[in-house]
Amino acid sequence: MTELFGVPIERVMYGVLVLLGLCLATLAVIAWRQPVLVRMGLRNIGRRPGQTALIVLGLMLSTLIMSAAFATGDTVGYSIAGQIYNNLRETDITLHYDSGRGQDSGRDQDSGTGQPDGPQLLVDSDLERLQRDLGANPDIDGISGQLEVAAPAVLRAHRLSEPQARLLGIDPATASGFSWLRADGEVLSVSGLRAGEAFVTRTLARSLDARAGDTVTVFLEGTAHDFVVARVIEDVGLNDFTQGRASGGGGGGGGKVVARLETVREISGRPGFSSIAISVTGGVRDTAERSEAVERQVEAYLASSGVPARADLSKRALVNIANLVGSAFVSFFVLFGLFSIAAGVLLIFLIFVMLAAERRTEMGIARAVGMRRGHVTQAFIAEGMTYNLGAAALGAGLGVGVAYLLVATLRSIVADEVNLQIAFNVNPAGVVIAYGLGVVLTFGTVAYSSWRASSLNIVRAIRDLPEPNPLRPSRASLPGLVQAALGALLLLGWLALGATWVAAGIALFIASLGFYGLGAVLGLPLAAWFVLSIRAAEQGFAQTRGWRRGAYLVWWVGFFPLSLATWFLVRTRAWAARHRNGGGWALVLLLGGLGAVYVGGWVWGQAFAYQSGVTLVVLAVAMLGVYFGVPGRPAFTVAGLALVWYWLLPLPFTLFLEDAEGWTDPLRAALEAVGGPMPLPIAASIEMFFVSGICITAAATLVVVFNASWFLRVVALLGRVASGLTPAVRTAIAYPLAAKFRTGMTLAMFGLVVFSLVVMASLNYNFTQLFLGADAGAGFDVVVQSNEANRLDDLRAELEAADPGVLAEVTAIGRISTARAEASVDPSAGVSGMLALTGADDGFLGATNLTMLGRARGYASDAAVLEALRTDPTTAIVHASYVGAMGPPRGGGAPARFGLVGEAARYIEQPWEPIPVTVRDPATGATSALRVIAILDAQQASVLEGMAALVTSDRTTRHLISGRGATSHVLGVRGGDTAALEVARRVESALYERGIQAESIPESVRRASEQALSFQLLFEGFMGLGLIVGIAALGVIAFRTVVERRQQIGMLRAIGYSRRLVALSFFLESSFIAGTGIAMGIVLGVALSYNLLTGPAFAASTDIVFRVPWMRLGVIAGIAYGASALMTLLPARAASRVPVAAALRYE
Amino acid sequence: MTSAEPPIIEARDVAKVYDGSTVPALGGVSLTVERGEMVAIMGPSGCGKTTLLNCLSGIDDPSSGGVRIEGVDLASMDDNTRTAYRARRMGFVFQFYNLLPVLTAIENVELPLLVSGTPSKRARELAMAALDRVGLRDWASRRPAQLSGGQRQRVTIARALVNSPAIVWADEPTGDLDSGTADDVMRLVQELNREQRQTFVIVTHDPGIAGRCHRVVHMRDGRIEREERLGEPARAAFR
Repeated sequence: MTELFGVPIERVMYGVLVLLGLCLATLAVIAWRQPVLVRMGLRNIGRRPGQTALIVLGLMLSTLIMSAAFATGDTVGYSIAGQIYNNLRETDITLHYDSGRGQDSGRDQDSGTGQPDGPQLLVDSDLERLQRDLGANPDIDGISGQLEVAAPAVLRAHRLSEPQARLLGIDPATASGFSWLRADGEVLSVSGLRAGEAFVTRTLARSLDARAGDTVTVFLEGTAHDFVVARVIEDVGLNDFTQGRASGGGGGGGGKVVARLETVREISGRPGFSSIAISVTGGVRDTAERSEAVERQVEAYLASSGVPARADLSKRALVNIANLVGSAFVSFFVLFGLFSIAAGVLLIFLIFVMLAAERRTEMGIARAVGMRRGHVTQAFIAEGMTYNLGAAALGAGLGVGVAYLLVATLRSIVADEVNLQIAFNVNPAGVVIAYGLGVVLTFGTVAYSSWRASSLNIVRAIRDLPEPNPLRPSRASLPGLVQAALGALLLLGWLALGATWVAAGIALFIASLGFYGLGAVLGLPLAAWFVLSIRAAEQGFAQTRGWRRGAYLVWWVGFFPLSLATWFLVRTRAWAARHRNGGGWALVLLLGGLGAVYVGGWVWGQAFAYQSGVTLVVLAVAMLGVYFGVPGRPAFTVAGLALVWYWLLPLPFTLFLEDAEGWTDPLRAALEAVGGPMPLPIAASIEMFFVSGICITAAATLVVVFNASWFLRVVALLGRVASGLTPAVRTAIAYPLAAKFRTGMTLAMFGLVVFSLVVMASLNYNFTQLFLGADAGAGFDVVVQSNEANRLDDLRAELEAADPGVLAEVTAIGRISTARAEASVDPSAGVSGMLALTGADDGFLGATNLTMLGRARGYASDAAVLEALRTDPTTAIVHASYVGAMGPPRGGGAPARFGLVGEAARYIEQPWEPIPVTVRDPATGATSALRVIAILDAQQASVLEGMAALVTSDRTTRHLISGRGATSHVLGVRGGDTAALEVARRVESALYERGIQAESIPESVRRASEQALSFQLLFEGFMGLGLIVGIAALGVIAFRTVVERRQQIGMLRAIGYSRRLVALSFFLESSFIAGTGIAMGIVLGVALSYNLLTGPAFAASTDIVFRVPWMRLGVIAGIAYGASALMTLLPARAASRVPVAAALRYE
Repeated sequence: MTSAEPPIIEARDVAKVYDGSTVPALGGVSLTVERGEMVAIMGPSGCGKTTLLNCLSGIDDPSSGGVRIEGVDLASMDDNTRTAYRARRMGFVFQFYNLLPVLTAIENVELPLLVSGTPSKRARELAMAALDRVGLRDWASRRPAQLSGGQRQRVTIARALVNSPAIVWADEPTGDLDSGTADDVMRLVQELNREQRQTFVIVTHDPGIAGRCHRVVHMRDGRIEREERLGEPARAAFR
């Protein structure tokens, strides 16, 4: 992996290291100036090992998730790159025949270089010219040609076949500089092969169970050719990556039989090269730098030389793509880990808020005896950083371990499907970034929570009196509110100033790297001077005398704007601190929210700013309501409910109204109603999943926390049912109700993680049901695929000849052939471009149960559509994935993809006029005029590759794609799934010499479902790491409360609480929080999933029936609750064993 | 005070050595308290007053010796039985009130009743009556943080008396109060002792408090130095 979010990984690492350096420098300054504060922090760590362990667990999770994401991405990128290096070896540039240049140079299909229906080839003279003209280039050290043809292979002795196999011919004369053929570390050459011998690649050997000495038969145009396996070699292939074969994709990844070039030319009748390899001077992995220049030279040569070739993607480009894939994995895992990271940040905040609460009295005493607020903050930062440095290191290390498990699981899931050797690999830069980000993230959170904790009233702290409501001033007034907002803005000004100086410091540091320390030489005195000048401003400029006065003057003039801002902030600091309060922040929030709504809605048309702005406005209004005397409970309940409703729109309307899908923006609706200025269309991207999760959970938490007494009445019923539990229930209820902040934070953590898991599980479950359901086979049970080199045109006839008995089990046989074609459509109806054109025969159209999402006027039913396809060769249906085209791709280059314009709803809700489309064979130029009469449901036939296309009768396509592309037969089978398996086995056995592959569709669906489930569980497991945060939070709280309430426990025990009752009280308290968080996450997660799956984006391509994955949700809830209950047991037990007399003495 | 009844509290050679300490906190204390008696335990800091109270009330185990409450040996009870016994027959008043800050005054008071199985409705009635008795009916729904020190201590007394215990243990009940409030609290304790004939064992530094009791036990270095039985004139003199 070389880049992250488009930024070179080294640059990201240096940036993170600079930030890490700043954090460490802060700690170093504290340790140097206030060593006692650091000592205090270190001593606290050893005081309560259990609690320390939980804090470390909580702090390390963010780092762990990032580290795991990096290591997984590294592994994927490295493995793909490794496969590319292994397959291409010294090949840096691969040339293929280019039809455009071929026509320009006068070469055509009759030149004898290829078969009429096969691909055009380069010829010997092309290779000779390349060798002559480029061979002298010192940056090129090898040019060699290969011929590769499709050739299904069978091993008769084992009765095994591989329809996707290929035959590769290598020229021993020119291939000496290439180490393509390797076995057990030894480089081989085809020159060592005897007549009738060939090498077999590992992939094919695995399919055929072939070993050296076996005879493998390949079929070319129906003729069998035998080869004795000389040796099984490593996989090799110049074209596998550019043509989708390496991953077992559509091009087939069946492996190769490798023989001498002349042998392959002779038996295939193709006297040319399918590709010519160029090696840039150097080895396998060290040519990337030189390669770019050589690629340009070769491209320039090809453009002017008349050699009809084009350069395919180079090894350098392919490796770059591999790295991009790795980066995509990192981004994907980081994105889905964001919920856990957010929960981790909340946990860190909660931990330090609790530590501050625990030490409130001693902090008050410390402040009373002269400790400044800054000292208190520093003490916490010192303690937090001590935990942080160790926890992040542990997290980074464990993240690598988690990545190893993820990769091992990934390997086991894809082992049979993808021909990719996954090699675990960790780039140290990724681990450094994860560690640095973990430390910086925690440092920021600790610094903020410490600063917040240090803001205490000394008397209230010493006497342990509750702090007043920050939103409730003694006298609320509008001028007071404006002053408070100014106070808040001035604080923001300080933060902005700090950020400016940090940014300037980083820039200076980076500049100093280039100027050999010049930045440090100049920067440090300048920074010192800046500090002195602030002090001068603080003390009063007038008191400064002598040369200093002049120097300060120069400074102020030279840095006037920044200095003026600093001076202003310094002078107003005391005023701002005096006037700042919650009301002021609410006003700032309101203005910020309104600004975000305006910018997001009327300037950018972007959902993040627009919806976040609305959320801030609603919250700010509630806060201002409280400021002016509205009780907190109704204010925040109304705000919370309004936000939950806002974020879950169009629910609940979609439950009982047909056309409510678009009801997602009440502000737009209100402006429309009053004729106000309308916002732009709002565009949302993937980050909104995370933003909506945060906002919706926060809003729901507000509702729950401010109305917990209602929820707790349910818990109180327990007390009524079993009266012996009443005292335990009473105390279990009272504590969470009294500590709203703490309860809310924990609820939010639990809710957030469960929410993300539920959304992921619901989406996965519904997708699996949709695309791998009973309709996936289009009404058929077995699919039979044949190789383009050994085409099977009449399966019934073939079976009658080979195994007529099997036909008794077959109820229907259909055939579909698919090939690429160009489609033209009127611009008002769609975008012209390439598509997969499928021709279905009458056998298929007569037996299929395909269903349509929408039909054109005149076709009243699906049966009418299928009947039309059978009887009218000008009709066609289009797969739903071709609906909703956005227009041709930007920037040109790639050909456009065909598509019909407009929302899917337009085609679904009411009949439409048939859409004329003209399809053209790009090879022959033949055309056909068609009319699209229906939209095919996406969930139909998802395992039949040809169905994701424009489908028409094969009478129409016969002259368009005959002899090209893939042909499949589908069979309806009498009996159930077992019968389908048996028929597939018998068909494959009967026709194995034709190199066909027969598969039971229910079995394919089952395997695909299992694989999909494994992937889903892998990702859900990764996201489930966040649950550890929630569980750790409960543990931290429970352990903390045992300490906090030690004296109260003593009292309870003294007045008659039994040990069991004390433990039960703690257990019920944690259970209430965990249970409510889980319930909240499930309800919100299911609601959002419902919105996503029934929204226009998904409903466009399929007729969806949303299903709740109760079983999976039950497992998630069970694991979450079970683990949290286990985590609470220890502290609950500890509480019950508190010695009464000692506890009563405890202070 | 004399009585034909057996003593409600009977301690014999009670000794206590804390873990990790070589100096005994109690060095073999024997003491009997009659039913309805108000006994003050006095002595300098660290002399073992609170330790003795803890051992007598069963919230701590003596290292040796035995304690009988209402004729039953505490050592013969397991933790659950002893806890249940405390809930039914004992009340506690502590110097720092030890009220649950998250419960209201009335909820604090009714806790011992709920623990001993009294139905919620009846517990609420009894708790309100106890608060009424200490003059806090109107403050029933306030939390401890919203009450003054004296009011909190009265809530503690209400909680200690709500289940009509046989014995009330009070550890420095007025230690955190000003003299006026302390006087109010002790007047209340005396009234309750007189009217309900409950036994009070009070640990105190304050001679004024001790002077309101029937008997004063003076301790020094973990032992009873002397006992002083106070008649009404002496009690008046203390005041």
